[in-house]
Amino acid sequence: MENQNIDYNGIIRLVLKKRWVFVSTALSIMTISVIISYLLPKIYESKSTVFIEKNVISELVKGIAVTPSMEQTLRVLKVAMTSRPLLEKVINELDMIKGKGPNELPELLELINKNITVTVNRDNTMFIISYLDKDPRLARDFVNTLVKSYIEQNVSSKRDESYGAIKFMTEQSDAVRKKIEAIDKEINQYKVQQGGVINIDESRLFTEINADQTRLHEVQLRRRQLEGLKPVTRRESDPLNNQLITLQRRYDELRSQFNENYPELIRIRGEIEVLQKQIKTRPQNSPSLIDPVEIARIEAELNALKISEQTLARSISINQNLLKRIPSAKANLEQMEAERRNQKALYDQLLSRQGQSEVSKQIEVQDKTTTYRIAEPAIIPVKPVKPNRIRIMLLGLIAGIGGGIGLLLGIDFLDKSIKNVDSVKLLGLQILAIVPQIPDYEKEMRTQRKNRILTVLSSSYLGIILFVIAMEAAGLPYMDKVFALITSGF
Amino acid sequence: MSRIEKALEKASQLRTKSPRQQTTSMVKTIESAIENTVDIFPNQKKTDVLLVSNPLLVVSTDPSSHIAEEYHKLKSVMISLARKDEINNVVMITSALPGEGKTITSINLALSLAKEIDSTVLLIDADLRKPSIADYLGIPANLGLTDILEGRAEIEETLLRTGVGKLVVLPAGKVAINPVELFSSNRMSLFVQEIKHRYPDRFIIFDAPPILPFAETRTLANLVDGVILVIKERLASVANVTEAISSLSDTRILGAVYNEVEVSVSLDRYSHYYGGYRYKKPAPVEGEAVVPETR
Repeated sequence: MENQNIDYNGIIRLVLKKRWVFVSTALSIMTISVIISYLLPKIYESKSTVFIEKNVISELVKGIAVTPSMEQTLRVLKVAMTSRPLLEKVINELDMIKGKGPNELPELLELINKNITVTVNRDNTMFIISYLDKDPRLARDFVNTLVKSYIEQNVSSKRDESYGAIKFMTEQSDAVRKKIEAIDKEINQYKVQQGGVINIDESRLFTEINADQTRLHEVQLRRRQLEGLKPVTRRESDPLNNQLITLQRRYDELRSQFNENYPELIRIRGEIEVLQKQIKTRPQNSPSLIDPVEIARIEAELNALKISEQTLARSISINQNLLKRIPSAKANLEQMEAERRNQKALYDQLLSRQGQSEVSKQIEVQDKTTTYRIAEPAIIPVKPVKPNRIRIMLLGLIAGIGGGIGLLLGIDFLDKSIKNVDSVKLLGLQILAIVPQIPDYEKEMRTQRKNRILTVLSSSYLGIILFVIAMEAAGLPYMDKVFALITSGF
Repeated sequence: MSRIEKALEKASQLRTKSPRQQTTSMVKTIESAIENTVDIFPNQKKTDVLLVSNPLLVVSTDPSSHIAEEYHKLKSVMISLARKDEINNVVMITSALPGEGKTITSINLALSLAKEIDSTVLLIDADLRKPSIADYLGIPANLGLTDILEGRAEIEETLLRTGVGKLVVLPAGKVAINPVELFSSNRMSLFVQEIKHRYPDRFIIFDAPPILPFAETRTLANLVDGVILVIKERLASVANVTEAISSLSDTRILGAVYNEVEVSVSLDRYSHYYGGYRYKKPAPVEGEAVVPETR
């Protein structure tokens, strides 16, 4: 299919026309790729597989004891594996810093970091750790030492964690217990301070107050009655007064039935007026009107009532005060008790966790949860993983062709001469004829001869390159020997 | 002897006189030439034919090729323009830079035109610095344009009849040291006028030097009726050609011949029509030696 944007025919023409440039560029790039692939240092990879086994105990103690999360540990496996202390330990153990200054340690750590690969399988049952190095023996030793160090460190860190947890729990529970004791003391003191207020039944007190108020009311009523009775007592024995009261009562009765001009009413009114005049005109302290015994009795009763009234009022006031104090006192106490309850709950929880952590500690101490088993220890790698010579050489083949075409296109782009008839038309010139190159037989023969030589030479050279690739694919080490000879010559 | 010949003879007699007198006599010659332009080569044998063997001259060596066809197209344009009286009969073929194929185009066009029954063609090698027409055609070129302009020869002494149709060649002659002065001279303009009027029914083709490096081409361009620019693929830049066009602003540019287009064997766009062009050794054209035109 023809692409409108790329003039394939143009490119083919260009390649055919400048075949020398194309062939020499392409073959040079291919040769360079072959040389590079043999000169690049060989890198070996050593790897070790570690199985992670979860003990039955960990399932059994689920909920009772807390075991460190394996998932989390694995998630940070790469970080843990490449942590500086661990790597430094491995470096020291393998004496990798030998012959290097202390300033080179960061560089070495960075290089190691780049060369370590840690992969965890999906169900977290194993991880593979690999390390790349020019020295196959060192690659193996590094992986094995790293794995060993990691496992050791992991176990000891888990133990440290458990001990730390227990210590923490104990400290916390002690602190909470002390707090509860302090609150208890405070509550007791408060109860003493508040006296019986806290224990009084609010409703009973209220009933009591109500009863007192009723009685007070009754006493007051009786007192007022007696006070009113005192003057009346005198009048009761006065016949004029009694008659006047009777007439007055009769008048009131008739008044409700008849009008003012009713004869009976007029008569009674006249009699009332007469009687009132008589009462006014007679002497006030007429001894005959006062009953001294009755008066004395009334006075005595009045005095008693007043004393009773005062007592009741005082009792009511006291009770009302009490009633006012009860809610705040009870609320304060309730607050204190709530605080105590909270602390108590926390304390209980801490105590239970303390028990769990004690179990956990025992599990860790006895190493009962997780065990790492090195399924495949690292061995000395035989074949280097890098450089991938075949790949480099094949890429070189492609790059050679691409580079050759690219160079030709670049040259063509830089060539500002008129390359097609359209450019001439753009100059405003009429095209009278388009004359193709006139073939020159002799020249053409010479060119064809040269082309044949070029084809034979370039094909042979390409054949050699392909042969080298084939040897590499077959794992034949001859080229290595050739390059070793050449490099030793230098 | 025709009146023209008489006039020419008279002109040669006047050659030894002062330049002013020479000019006057040349004008007279032209005038007389206009009156009678009949047979000027009465002694020439009609069977004498030039042997054209250079493979680049495809019009003769491979007349049925598509390349020759392109020159025939160019010829048709020329004839068409002449019939419409858009041009007279003097055309200069040049290019912006050297090596673009002016001479090959000139010769092939001349050969193509010469094969027309009615057309007579005068091909003049005006590249006095590097003349090559005579070499391509394989003809002797002892005398030529330089000799005429320097007054050493008469026109009729320099003209060579090729026998290929009605093609007459005027070689460059000796290599000139001062072509700019020669082309700018009064003698040059008189020469152009003379040949123009002497052969009004002929096509006169000047093979001129490239425009950009040499000044004489611009001078010559002012004397001719039209210019054909030869542009070789992948040689001159757009800027070169633009400069060449602008330096020919006073002359009519008839058009361009886009030359030496690369057509690879496998991608030949003409191969459909011609059954595939193949390189083959050209066979020499039958013919005999060329002879100079009559004295």
